[in-house]
Amino acid sequence: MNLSELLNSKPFSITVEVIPPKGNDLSIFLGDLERVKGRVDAILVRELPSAVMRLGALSTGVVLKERGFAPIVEFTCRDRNRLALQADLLGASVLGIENILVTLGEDIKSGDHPEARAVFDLNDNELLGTIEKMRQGSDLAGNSLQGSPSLAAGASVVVDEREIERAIAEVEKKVSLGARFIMTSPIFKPALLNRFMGGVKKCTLPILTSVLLLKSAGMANYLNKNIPGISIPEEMIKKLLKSSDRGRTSVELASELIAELKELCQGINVVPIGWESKVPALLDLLKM
Amino acid sequence: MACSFKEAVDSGKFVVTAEIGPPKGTAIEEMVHHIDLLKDKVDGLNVTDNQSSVMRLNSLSVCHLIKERGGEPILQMTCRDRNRLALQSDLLSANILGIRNLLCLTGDYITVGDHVEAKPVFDLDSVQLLQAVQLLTQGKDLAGNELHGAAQFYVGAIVTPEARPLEPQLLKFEKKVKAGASFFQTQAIYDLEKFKGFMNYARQFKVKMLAGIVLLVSAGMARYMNANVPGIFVPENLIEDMTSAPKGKALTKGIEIAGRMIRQLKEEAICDGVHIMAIGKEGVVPDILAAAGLA
Repeated sequence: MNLSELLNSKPFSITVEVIPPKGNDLSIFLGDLERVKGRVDAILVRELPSAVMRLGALSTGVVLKERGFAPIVEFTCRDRNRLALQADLLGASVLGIENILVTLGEDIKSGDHPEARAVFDLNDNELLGTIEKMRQGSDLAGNSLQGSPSLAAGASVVVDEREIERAIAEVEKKVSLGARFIMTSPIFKPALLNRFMGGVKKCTLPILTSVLLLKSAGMANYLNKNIPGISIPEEMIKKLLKSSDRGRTSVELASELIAELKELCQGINVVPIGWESKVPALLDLLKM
Repeated sequence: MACSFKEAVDSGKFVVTAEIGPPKGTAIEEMVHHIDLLKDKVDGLNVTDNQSSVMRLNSLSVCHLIKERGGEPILQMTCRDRNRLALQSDLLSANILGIRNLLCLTGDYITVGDHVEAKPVFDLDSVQLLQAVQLLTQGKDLAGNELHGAAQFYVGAIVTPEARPLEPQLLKFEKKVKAGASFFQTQAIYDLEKFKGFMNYARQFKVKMLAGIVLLVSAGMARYMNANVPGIFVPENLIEDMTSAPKGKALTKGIEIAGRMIRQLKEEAICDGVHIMAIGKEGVVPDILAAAGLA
């Protein structure tokens, strides 16, 4: 069962996103994941987030699959041209990785190799369309494939309260290009998700809402100021400021938020960014 | 193969590698058949990376399949389709999947392939890729950042012994040696006397040399390569041999020629091994080995 079928088959699913290590030592990474095994529906493996060079998402996905997890592998457009992207998509399918999250990829200047050449031969919408074309048996240039890949691609959409109509239009566009599920940017207000879900209702594809573990008031203020689409309510920031155990407060805030959001969409994607070790406590609170 | 490609090379035996060309799609049955046919007969299986800029199943996944089936993969990696982030990331990925052998290439022009409108990346060239590999094995990335766990590779490169002009090719060869290439697989060679001359030069470097053997399947193929592939020169006497083969027996003749060349390379200890490229005819590699007296 691919992710989109899974999301449609049960009232509520949960995924956790992970960032592979910068190097070959997987011990800590896998140790954290062992503690959520059997408790989440899938693991989203990020591909070089913030343009920092790391272990690849596809190979990490293969390792996770061999260990009994259901991986979703991110494909960005920043680092590969259409030859490599399509070749890697065929590889994913051959290695049994079906779930793909298509994203554009962050600015190379924000990463740890700012002098690297940004590729962007395709954009995220073109990549989604390419996957659909490959599923139907031909490559982007129209050459027929010997065996078409079995892939279920999802897309990410920034849900910004100031531009909710744009987000809704983007979902419609991505559905028309073959997206099987949508993953939102981190949402902190149930009312915002409610408005978004009202707008995308007719699209009938599953929506996974991202929930970020806030590490501190400082992080929350930074995100509010610098990341488009993110709007963290003042009362959350106050709770973090007053907390004597920020780790505990963080998972409590996430758990309270998820309790409300889960009523509105098909699934939640937990974004721990470095706090992978706190995810089991969050799952405890959610009774999962 | 019970022992790794590096162990085989270090043992001093005459090593044999062969090339696997991934399919253009997910139908892998024929390729898997070739992998199973060859994995115990050769010391390493090279997997090409979108060869001739034609989009195909990726090299890394096929190397993983070879590894799973008990073979010894050699990952070919070009600089054409990925920037330094993706190249280094794929190198770490290869290691995680147990792939330790690497062949670094610059890559063909996009325009010879089947996606002519694709963007050529070439953020690095083959020498810089070799340098990146060297750094990763020392626990650092190309930008000098520390890694959480260093990489391990036995890394090689390519050289064209009959390049014309030869001088720039030799300069590049020496740069590759300096950047850490431990073994070389050459472009196809057909004139062994000329190749001996090249080996006299190459022997001053402490690197292992595998001569490239491209199976001739017809006289037409030989003429086509002479006209179109830079650095490949099939001598007239071999073309005549191919032409004189009875109808339907050209492939047999090509196998005989390849076998004869390999036998001479080994008997005269001209180089350390051969890399057999039986493009599209992987199934006859065992026949070539038999003709060479290596089976």
